Formats: sequence, structure tokens, C-alpha cells
Amino acid sequence: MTATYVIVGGGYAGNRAADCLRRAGFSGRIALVSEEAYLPYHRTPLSKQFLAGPVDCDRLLLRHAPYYERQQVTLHLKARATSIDRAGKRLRLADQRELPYDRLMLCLGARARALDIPGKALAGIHYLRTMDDARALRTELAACKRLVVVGAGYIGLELAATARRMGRDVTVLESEDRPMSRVVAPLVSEFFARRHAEAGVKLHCGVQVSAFAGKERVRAVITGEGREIPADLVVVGIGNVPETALAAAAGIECDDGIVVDAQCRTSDPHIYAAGDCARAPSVRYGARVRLESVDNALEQGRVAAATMCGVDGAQAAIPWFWSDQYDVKLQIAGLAEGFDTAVARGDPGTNAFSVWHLRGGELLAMNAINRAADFMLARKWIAARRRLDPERLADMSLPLNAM
Amino acid sequence: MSMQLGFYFDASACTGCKTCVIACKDRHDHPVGVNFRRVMHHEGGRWEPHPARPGVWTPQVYAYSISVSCNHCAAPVCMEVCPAGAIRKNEHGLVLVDQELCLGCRLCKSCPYDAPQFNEKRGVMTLCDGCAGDAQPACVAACPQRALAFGDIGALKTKHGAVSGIEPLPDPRLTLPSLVITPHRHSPLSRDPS
Repeated sequence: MTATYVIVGGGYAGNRAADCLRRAGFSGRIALVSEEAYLPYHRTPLSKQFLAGPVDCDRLLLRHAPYYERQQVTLHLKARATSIDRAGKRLRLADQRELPYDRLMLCLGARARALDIPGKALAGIHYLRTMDDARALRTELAACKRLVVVGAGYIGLELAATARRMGRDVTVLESEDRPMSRVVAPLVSEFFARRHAEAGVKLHCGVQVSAFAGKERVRAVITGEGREIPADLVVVGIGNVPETALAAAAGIECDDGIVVDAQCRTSDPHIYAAGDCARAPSVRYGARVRLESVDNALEQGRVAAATMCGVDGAQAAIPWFWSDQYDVKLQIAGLAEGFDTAVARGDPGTNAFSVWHLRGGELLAMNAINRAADFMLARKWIAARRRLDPERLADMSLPLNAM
Repeated sequence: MSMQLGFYFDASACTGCKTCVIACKDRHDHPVGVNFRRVMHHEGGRWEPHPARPGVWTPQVYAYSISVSCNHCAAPVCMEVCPAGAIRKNEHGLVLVDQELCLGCRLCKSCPYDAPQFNEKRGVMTLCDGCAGDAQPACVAACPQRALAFGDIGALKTKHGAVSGIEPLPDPRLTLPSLVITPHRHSPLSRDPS
């Protein structure tokens, strides 16, 4: 009998899984269920060029319609999964349809963390996660004069850079003491704070937001100190929350994400999870981590597809992340948690340098500012658990390949 | 304005023989599954009333072949979505992959022409380079029908017209391909994606 594999979620992980299933030779039925009305698309341009101009949605598609026909992947768009009947192996949709499955993959993603403060329902307050979010924001950004961004993470700063390039007055409020504090080294935070200041962004760190003021539409953002910052548009980018409700309601183990093993198997032997919603053990770093990155979604989509085909596809993958702001490409390789030494290579006062994180001399992670070649080398060295001499690493007269 | 190289394809002359595919594969020594140039076959048709017998409908069918590679687009999606900045346009307008920087993530596979080709062995994406250094690309040189040409796209358009999308290729407004086509006599133009 022909097997049916159902994938819930039309993001990077779900799309990659469908692709890998076919490339691995799976000839059964593949159904891809997505809440959104669009074919699976690239999310990363949504905070960048998509907001700045009339970018056709079709330019963002991960794959175009003929690909899904060719690969015989049945798309269920605008279809929300509401529950899983694990005993009967059926996925229920909001429109009362039921999809039987032999194996089910949950690529549910994450949702933007909501700011639950007075005035939160006023018009002009946006979050940015989906194409529909971006389209709504784009319309308002075109007419806005004063934008306040709450949160100086990837989304907030990319959005700030885009809005400044569009000539908007931009203020960024960050509760931590430096931008992107959870993901980059202090030197890199300083660099971006300076770069945004040069571009005219007013970046305030260590600031809590306590309320939004306005009658029907937001007029200002009120800080914890009672300061009022005028705004006709607000975007909140304070992180994401994994989408686990569907899995948790079905009794699948969840703990800040759907708990999976290195092969992306959940606590149900017929159900798998991948991407932003999954918490998996890292082969390279040992700990169980939940990563919100394109790379992780692609990698786990691949691993889950391999597992569904009976192959152990787990690898010691090195996570990587990137962000584009103005003319700066930030690339991050590895996870810096637990580092004891940070070494800057190059002058952080310039537009090209890197910061290397070591633990006991072993390379854990690296942040590269416009240093793509260094980044490529760092990925290999992190995988190889390369040990480096901090003094030699900091010496720019020595080429990296002489380390 | 800098030069923009591109391809001309004569769909009215192509027989679908795939000599271009083989010549390209041989020139670049590609492994199985990697094809910078591919030939696709498109069929279509409709029912039409018989001209002499009222109430009788007859099928009008057609088929033609299309040879397609990277079109070195003016607005390349692959370049836009590459997280490593590994895809660039060179001074001749060719879209090229810097394989030293390619992360192997395959996000550039969102190209509507499916042009980027992943080399599994090397773990990097590869792309038509117009047979850099050769007098002309191998596909062009090999075509027995002379259905392919390569050169300055402005000059090719002056000579061959302005059509750059026929079915089943995507709407050319999406990526502005450096491509000009003489359609097969039955070729419908590419559908509007909107």
C-alpha cells in the first residue's frame, strides 16, 4: 500500500523535507499543509528589500508551482491543522477535513512574541513574521514618518536599516544594554550601534516599554521611565515563541519547543518535528537547543526526511546565522555559549573584522562583519574542534591559513 | 551602461535533440544530475469545432521543445536570496557563484528556471558561466539546428525581437532574464504570475 507522509507547515523546514523525501526516493504521497495562502516563500527578505519597494510576492517563492506538480507534492494552502488523532493517525483541519498519515512531520515554526501592555490593540502596531504581516507593514511604512521599533534583534535592526534607507525617522528601543545581545559579541553590538547611529537611527538601550498611547491609532510609545516617544507606526520585534499547541494537545512531549532526538523523532514514533518549533540535541555542542534560523530549519528538514525514509541523517552540523543591514553582512558560525575568550581579528572600528569565541583554546563560534572568507574557514574549524592560539589569531600580519 | 550577455533561443527550430545538454555536460565534466542546460518538452492544445461538420469537435494539439539554462537575469532571485553573498553579477552581466563562499544551503534553487545546479560531491552550487574563456558556449557551438546564440543581449534583441518568455517558462517580468526567443508557431507566451 502506498504510504502517505503529511508535513504541517510551509516554511523552510517543511519545504526542504518534501524536497528531500523525493530526492531520497520516497514514491508515496506527500501532503504539505500550510495556514498561509501562499506557496512556501523566503521569510528573510520580509524585513529587508520586500518592505522598501514593490517586490512581487512570486519573487520570494522557495519553489514555483510547477515544481510541486513535478514532485507530486499535494499542497493544502489556507489549511489550519487543529488536532492530531494519534491513535487513528489522522490530522484534522479547521475546515473539518481529515488527512490520514503514515508519518507526520510538524514544522509549525514560531510566532512573534506579543507585547502585553496597555494600548497593545491600537492601530499602527505591527509584528513581522509572515508575508501578510509584511504586506500590511509595507503599506503603512510607505506613508509613515516616525517609526518606533521595539527590540534591537535581527528583525528590529534590519527593519530599522530598511526604514532609514526609505528616509523615515527611526527610533529603536531595546530593553537589554546592547543591541543583539543574545546573539553577538559586545564588540559586534558596538559596531552595529555605531553603524545605525551614523545612519541616523536613534537607538536607546536599557529601555523598557510600558504602554502605547493613542486613541484609535498609536501616537506614542511610553517608556518605563515615563518618557513619551512620538510614533505613527510601531513594530514590535522582541523574539518568537515556538508553536507547540498542536503537539502538546496531542500529548507529544514539549519543553520550550517540541522535544525531538537527533533524528528529529518526537515522543510519538510516527511523528517528527523540525525547524523553529523543535528542540533537538546538538551533536556538536552536546546540549539540547532550539534554534530559530533558516539553516537549522533546512538541516532539520533534511534530517527528518532521512529518518522518515529509514536513514540516520544526523550530522554534527554547525549552526550559522546571518543578517544584512545597510552595506554590512553579519555572519555567525556556531554557538558561543560557554566561551572563555573572545578574540577580535581586524579593527572593530572599520567595516570588516571578526570576533572569535574560544573555550580552553577550542573554537566555539565566530562573528564576521563583511568577512565571508573568514566565516567559511571558521565553520570548518568549529566542526573540526580546532584549537587556536588567541595571540596569533589576533595578529593580522598572520594569514588565517597559517594558524 | 555595462555589457549584459545573454542567450538567444529559436523555439521554431529546436528539435529537442539535447545535443546542447550533452555538449555542456561534456565541457564542464558534470556529474550525474547536474545540468547547466536542460531541454524540456511542452505540449498543449484545445478542442475546436470542425470547419465543415457542425457539432463535431476536433483536437488541435501541438508540442515543442525548449532549451534553457541560466538566463543571467537582470534581477536574479538567486542572488537576492543567497545568505552568503556568494552569487554576483560580473562585468559582463553573467550571474556567477563564488564557490569559496557558497554554503551549500540551496536557497538559490528558488530560481524559477531551476538554473542553479547543486554539486553533491563538492557540496556547492554551480551555475552556467557562459563557458568563460571559450569563443562561444559549448551548447551554442554544438546545436545542429543553430537554434542557440550567445552575445550582447541588446544586439540579440535587435536582431530577434523582444519575446523572452513562452510556456512553460515563467513570466519574464519576475526576473528579467537575458534571453530572447523566437517562439514556436504554437507557443503561448508565459502566463502572468499574478
